[in-house]
Amino acid sequence: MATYVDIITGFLESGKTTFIKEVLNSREAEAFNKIVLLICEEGFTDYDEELLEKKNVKSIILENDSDLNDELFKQIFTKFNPDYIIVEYNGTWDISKLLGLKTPFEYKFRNIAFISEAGTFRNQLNNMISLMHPHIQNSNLVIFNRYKKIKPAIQKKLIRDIKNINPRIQTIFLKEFESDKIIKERFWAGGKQGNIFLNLKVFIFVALSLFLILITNDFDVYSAIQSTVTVFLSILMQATPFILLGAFISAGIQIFASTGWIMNQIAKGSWSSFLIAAAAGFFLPICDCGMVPIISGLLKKDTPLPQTITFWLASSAVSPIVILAMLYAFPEKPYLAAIRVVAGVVIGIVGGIILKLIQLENHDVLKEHRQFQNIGNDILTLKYEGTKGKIEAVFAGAKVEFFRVSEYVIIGALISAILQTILPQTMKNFIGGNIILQFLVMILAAMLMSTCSTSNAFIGRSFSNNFSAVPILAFIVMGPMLDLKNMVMLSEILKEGFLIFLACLVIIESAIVFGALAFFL
Amino acid sequence: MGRKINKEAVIQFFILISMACLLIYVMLSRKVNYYVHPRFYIGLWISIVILILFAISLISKIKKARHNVNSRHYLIFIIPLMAALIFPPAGVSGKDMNMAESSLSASTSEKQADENIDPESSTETATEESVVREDASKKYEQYEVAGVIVIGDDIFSDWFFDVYDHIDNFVGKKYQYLAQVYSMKDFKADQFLAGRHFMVCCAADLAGYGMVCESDIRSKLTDDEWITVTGTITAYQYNGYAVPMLTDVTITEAETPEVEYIYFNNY
Repeated sequence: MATYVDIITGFLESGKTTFIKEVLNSREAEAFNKIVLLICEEGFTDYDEELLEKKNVKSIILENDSDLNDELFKQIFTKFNPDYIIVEYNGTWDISKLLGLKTPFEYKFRNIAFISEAGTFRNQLNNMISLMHPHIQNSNLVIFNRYKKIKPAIQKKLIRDIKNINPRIQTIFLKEFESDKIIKERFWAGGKQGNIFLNLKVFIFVALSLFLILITNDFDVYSAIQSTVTVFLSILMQATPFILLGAFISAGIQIFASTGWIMNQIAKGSWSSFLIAAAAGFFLPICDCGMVPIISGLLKKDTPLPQTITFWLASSAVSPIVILAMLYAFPEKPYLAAIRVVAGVVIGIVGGIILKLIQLENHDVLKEHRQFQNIGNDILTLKYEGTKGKIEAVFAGAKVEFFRVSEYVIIGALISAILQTILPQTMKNFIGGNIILQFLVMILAAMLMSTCSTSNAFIGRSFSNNFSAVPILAFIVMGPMLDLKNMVMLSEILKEGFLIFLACLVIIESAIVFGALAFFL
Repeated sequence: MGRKINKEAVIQFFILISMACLLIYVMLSRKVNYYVHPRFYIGLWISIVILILFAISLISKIKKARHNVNSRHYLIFIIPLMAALIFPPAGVSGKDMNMAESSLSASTSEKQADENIDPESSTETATEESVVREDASKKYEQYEVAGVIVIGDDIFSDWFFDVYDHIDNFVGKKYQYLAQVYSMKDFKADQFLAGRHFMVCCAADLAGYGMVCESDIRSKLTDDEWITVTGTITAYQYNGYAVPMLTDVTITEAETPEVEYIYFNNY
């Protein structure tokens, strides 16, 4: 039988002692024969001896965090052999120090509850993020005290703050002297922390469906899946170097506040900055999937939205690699490369200016809970200081960014790999002279085919049997702008509604630009 | 006595290490040929190093105990890792026929478009114009072996498109190359397409390109079979356009080459 260890943490005066007293007084605690109360707090404590005696609670007081050593639980075990341990932890001590202590095998950390006064929480979080973040991150329960005066809107924000640090935390607003319910749910003798089973279920489902596919003798299905997997993995493999590069650049932008003149110019938000934003992509010649983390890095740094979007839309048109690819793909029509650059820049700048005119601000379109997220645990606990520390931070930040972006790349690549195996056949049915229909098909292809901006010129070329030059050009230019994989990646930081709006904006602009081109060419 | 560890760091560590191992395996076993263009190799090696460095940096974090780790979103990484383990890389077979078919008509209609827009200019870039004007077939003469010009994989894409663009220069000359057999719906009974799959960037853009062949033993050939084809180029009218065709063809069986695809070397 496991002996549970519950930890109640938070700053002084947050109500930890009150809560622990209620736990000890509760009917649930009566199931325990011997309880150890570990108090990690300097100075006096106000537990009355009578209560401790009555409930057979042995209290141990640690005044210094150096008292947290591997002997602690061993001694508790040999001296008291309790069947329940509750810890009042010091909010200013490193929580992983307690969690990392050697414990007897039957000791299980169960609840970590962070208790805070609702009114002062946000203020404290802003000022002491590096101190509080680990405590909250490790908690599975955050309890807000004295919340009566707090407006419901602020309460929602508090919940969001917590969710963004760790989405698995349950947030509770506690009316005074009403902790019975939580105690009943979370602190009873047989209580558990659950959750492992869901992971197992998902895993079994994935494994089982793969197994079923394998034993199916249907050759067509198998080979279709096999080629889908090959396409899927090949998209991932070619994206990996670019994602890593993008992750490092993005982390660099986040750590070294304003890198250089260009970023400063974009950040200025003046009208001329649109031109610079559009041209900036020339100096960052990486593929569009590597661009996405840079965009989110810029937006997190509060770079104005319109210029950032201009930068994003134009970047894949002005990249020198892309221009070269265009010249190679259409050697007989070098002017198409020029048209691609101009069209991309025009769509980018006009799009940015429209966003500025309708006065969309960063906070309208950013998913708010993402704002804290760049302060991950990795960036907070640095070994070094100064330049060395900054390099370490970039490295750690790039790792965080890599894991975050990869999730979306995997989903996007999977979707586009599946669609690509289905699409070529369907595409052929659209052969026809109708240029508007061709344009629509090309928009669809741009969204779904997820081709890298550096190579989509060649793919566009392969359409030239069924489509005329302008719709193909539209496909090439819009490809990176509308790419579903990029959209999914951007949805990590930008609101879905805004992305749909942006896609519509790009489509309308392209319709006008390429409509005009079709007229002249 | 036990110790709690940082489950998240452990999960990340294993993901990074298995990604690096898979990439190393794919690179060393040359299976990478099926996935991406060789120009990504350097990038992939650098990625492997970075992934391993990421993993190493996590080792010290494993000791930093964590509670209530949100590990569910790492499940998504199982998909590519499992997929790579279970499904060996394969030719994107579902696409073969279509691609081969469309490529032929693609080249022809492109030619038509060129003629429409600017009949005067050469179909090559301005820089290459002077070379082209002489004779596009000249640069391949150095590969001649006993009266037959042998086209290796490294020059195949250049040669192939030169032939399409300047049939006149190539007519009457004898060439040999390694090819796969592709069928076309509207071909005659003794015709097939002798071609290869071209990769521009990755397996997502594989496309088959080939030349029309006429041969008596057509019926004995199966689709996607590997052959060494030797033949003389003639101009052939296909859907109203002049396309190159191999006549007087000799076909010998060939083994599947280690590298099945032709890689564009455009930049």
